Amino acid sequence: MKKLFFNLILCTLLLTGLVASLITAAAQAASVSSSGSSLTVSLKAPKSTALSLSSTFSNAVFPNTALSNGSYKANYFVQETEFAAKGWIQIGSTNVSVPSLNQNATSEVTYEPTWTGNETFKVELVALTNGNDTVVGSSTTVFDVLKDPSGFPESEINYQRPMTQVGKWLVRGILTLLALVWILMFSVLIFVVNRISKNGKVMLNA
Amino acid sequence: MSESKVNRRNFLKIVGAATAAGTVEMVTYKAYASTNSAPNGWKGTSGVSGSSAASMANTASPPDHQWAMVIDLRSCNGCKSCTAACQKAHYLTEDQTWIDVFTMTDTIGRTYSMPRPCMQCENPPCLHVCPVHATFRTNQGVVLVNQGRCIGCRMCMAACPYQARYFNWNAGVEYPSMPIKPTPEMPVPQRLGTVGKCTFCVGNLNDGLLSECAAGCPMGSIYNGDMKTDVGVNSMGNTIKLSEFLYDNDAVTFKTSQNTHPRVWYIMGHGQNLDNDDQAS
Amino acid sequence: MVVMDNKIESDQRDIVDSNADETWVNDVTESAMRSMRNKPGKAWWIAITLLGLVIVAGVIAWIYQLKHGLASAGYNDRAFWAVYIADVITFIGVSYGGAVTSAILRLTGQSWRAPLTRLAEAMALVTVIIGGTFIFPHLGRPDRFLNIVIYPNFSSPLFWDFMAILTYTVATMIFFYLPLIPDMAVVSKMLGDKKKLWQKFLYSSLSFNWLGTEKQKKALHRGLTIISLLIIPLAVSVHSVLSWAFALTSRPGWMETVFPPYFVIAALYSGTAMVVLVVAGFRKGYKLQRFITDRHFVRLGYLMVALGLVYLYLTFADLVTEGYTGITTGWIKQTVTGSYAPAFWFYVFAGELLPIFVVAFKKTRNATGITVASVFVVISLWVKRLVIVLPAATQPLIAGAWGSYHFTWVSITITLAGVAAIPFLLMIMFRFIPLFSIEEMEEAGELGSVEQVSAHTQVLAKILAKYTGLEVTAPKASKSLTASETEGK
Repeated sequence: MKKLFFNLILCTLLLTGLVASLITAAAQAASVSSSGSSLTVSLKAPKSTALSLSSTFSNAVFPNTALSNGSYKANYFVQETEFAAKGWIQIGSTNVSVPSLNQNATSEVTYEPTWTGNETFKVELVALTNGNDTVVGSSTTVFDVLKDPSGFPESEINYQRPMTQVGKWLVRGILTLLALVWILMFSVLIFVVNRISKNGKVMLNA
Repeated sequence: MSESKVNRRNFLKIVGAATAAGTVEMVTYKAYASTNSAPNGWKGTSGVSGSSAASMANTASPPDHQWAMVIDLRSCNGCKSCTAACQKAHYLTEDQTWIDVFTMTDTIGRTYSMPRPCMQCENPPCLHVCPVHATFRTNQGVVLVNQGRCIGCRMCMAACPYQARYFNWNAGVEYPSMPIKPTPEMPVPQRLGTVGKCTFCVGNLNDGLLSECAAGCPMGSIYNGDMKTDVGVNSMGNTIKLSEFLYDNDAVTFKTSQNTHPRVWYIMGHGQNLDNDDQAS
Repeated sequence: MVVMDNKIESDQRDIVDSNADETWVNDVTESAMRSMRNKPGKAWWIAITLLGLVIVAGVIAWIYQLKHGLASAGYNDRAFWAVYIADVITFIGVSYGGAVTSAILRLTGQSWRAPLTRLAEAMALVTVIIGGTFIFPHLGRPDRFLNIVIYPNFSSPLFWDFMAILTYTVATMIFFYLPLIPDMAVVSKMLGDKKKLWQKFLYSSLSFNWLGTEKQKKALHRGLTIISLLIIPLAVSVHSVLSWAFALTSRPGWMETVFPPYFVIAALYSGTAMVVLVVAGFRKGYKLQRFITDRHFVRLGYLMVALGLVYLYLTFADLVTEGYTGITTGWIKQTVTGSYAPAFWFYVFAGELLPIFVVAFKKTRNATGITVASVFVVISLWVKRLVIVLPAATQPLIAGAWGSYHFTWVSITITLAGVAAIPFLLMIMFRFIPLFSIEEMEEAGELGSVEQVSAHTQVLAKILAKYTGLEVTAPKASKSLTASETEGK
């Protein structure tokens, strides 16, 4: 009985907003397609540093009696295609509290896109009950992310050992010393040979 | 990078399969290149000329990926399928266990299996001691060997705390003739008198595929990971959020005290102490 | 020591006093040139042929190794460094010992050194070249050796190894060449005008009008002092950097602060022993007992044993520091009681205790005893180098069994070829240059002024003709020489 009831709810689920915003010029992110029954997804002008996904659940979604004591949870996912996988990775989760039977509920998570291109997001509304948590509705949306604000610490990409700078000067110092040694060796050789040769000549010619 | 469907790895598979069937079908590089747009990753990075490796490391596109690996020791059963898959793909001898499976003893005397690929250290000792810069680190965080420059001094083997480097002591196993020269990413065939090691199958990863060892693991113990996109995937198709997975499962790196900053994480579960520097008895 | 010095000097003075100055010079020069006689004896030819065959065998083995890979020399992934790097350290170490012994004795004005320096310096030069050459069989791709210069990595100890060895080799050459100038002049004068082209170059051109004037001597001595001073830190640097090829890794057994002095002392120790061997060989071969006496051997023996004791102390310091806490005991167990124990204890008994006893007892404290002890020192220090290299290399760093290294005919032949190359090159070298520095010997014999020496040289020319068989014409008497001669008379 309960299941049937939730199916009914699913039909009336209204996801009024799945809003994404990106930093500064990254507002070009555009919704490419969205799927899900009777959902509308829209993009908002950016204000925050990360992508912001927000959804609004209309009061029609929520049951009037059976779950008045229960609560709802919105789970957000992004689809990963890397390594030939088709897995959903959860990127956030919020509790959706239903203020009253006649009001809409909202939920929002922030997410930093990790690459550019089409990224598929999914939001699931889960009813938390005493027994099984049940997905009462879901919606997927594809955004074309134009900018990837997620960086990676330069220090980890180009790891430098401690004292690298000191090491550079040490190398220069030793190389200089080495050059001096070579100069000394050959100047000694040239000095000795030159002296001997010159003096010998003088003596022979004397 | 993902446009080219026929990459070197696939190509080797094709050739390898042909060899196995007994009909060696040669595809020339020219024919191959004419039907495929120039694939990234290996073109111009042939291991022959000296400067190519360094230039590759510099000119590679800004790092879209930071490759990593997670090895879940809870599910590893020590079957060594990873070793076999790796050796097959890279035409290695039996001794060249680029990913080796060690039998370790835990704190109460039981044994467990631990696969050990190259740790792809962020502070790689092997790189620092190489006298000719034959070992280099790409901006995707992978440590590679340019076998076209290596002089075979084996200083890197002395420096590696993980015994992850393997030398080509002899001519090695037979391999099908290759129309493409070996590259640091795909050093096949191995060159006599040079050193080799796990490449993380970085060509596979850049093509959106799993590494040979991860794909060959029947238990799904090995996850290829990308620290940039924070994703990890194993052979079972399980997709994990890398950072959370590592955090939730108390992942550790091997021999942390060596200050090598490995990019390979282990998930424990046997009461092991992986940070032990000296297991020698 | 001081007493002994005086004794030796008085011995030499006795010789000088009892005979005429001329005779002393004659004898020195004659002895020094014994190796240069026109027709070498039968023994020389047999020796050179046998040694040459061993070297040829080594080259063949190396070609085989190039073709079949280092596996043919017994290498494997757990024994990645083994015999060749031990050879490199041994040969270069021996060279270091020769050069530093000579330099220190020169700097401290030990006049008893005179008959030894030429042999020691020649040995230093020959062994550093052989040691440097042994890098090639060690490398997997010797054809790419120059990559070290083309793509240098300044953070690699091996780059600095290369620089240090190169610099040291050049210094050794200069150190060998400078004292040779007066001798070249003597030979040049003896040969007179009828010189072949190579003789002209070797003896006339390279002796640069040496007449033995006060000014020339001063210049030569000043240069030699500077090079002597320079060669000591250079040699120290060579062995320190060689040790850092080990110590800058994180391997238990290698990553130790004691390593640089450990290697330096080992080098001095084995080098002194090698000087004894070379001196003993040439003394016997060319019958130089008159100039190289038991006392020389005893002196070198004392020096050797003193260095040996320091080395024993460092070995103990190394083992006790690594072993006490139990953090890195694996390789120590393997070294002292495990599969490397025979080699280790061979070093302790044959390389340390034996020479101490030989020098301690009066009965064995003579040329023969010390030569025998030196043989054991050189061999056991090579073994000790293997014991340094192998346990740390073959230890399991993660888990599992110990690796092992097995000698093959390739590695043995190549190593023996290196050993044979020392006497081979020395014997050939001394066909062209005198065995002693005649000038230094004259000084040690306290002969007088330049004029005398020059006069002697003239007299000598005739006498030498008998011994050397070289075509000899009396040197042209220049004005000054004639003048001084008449003055002298």
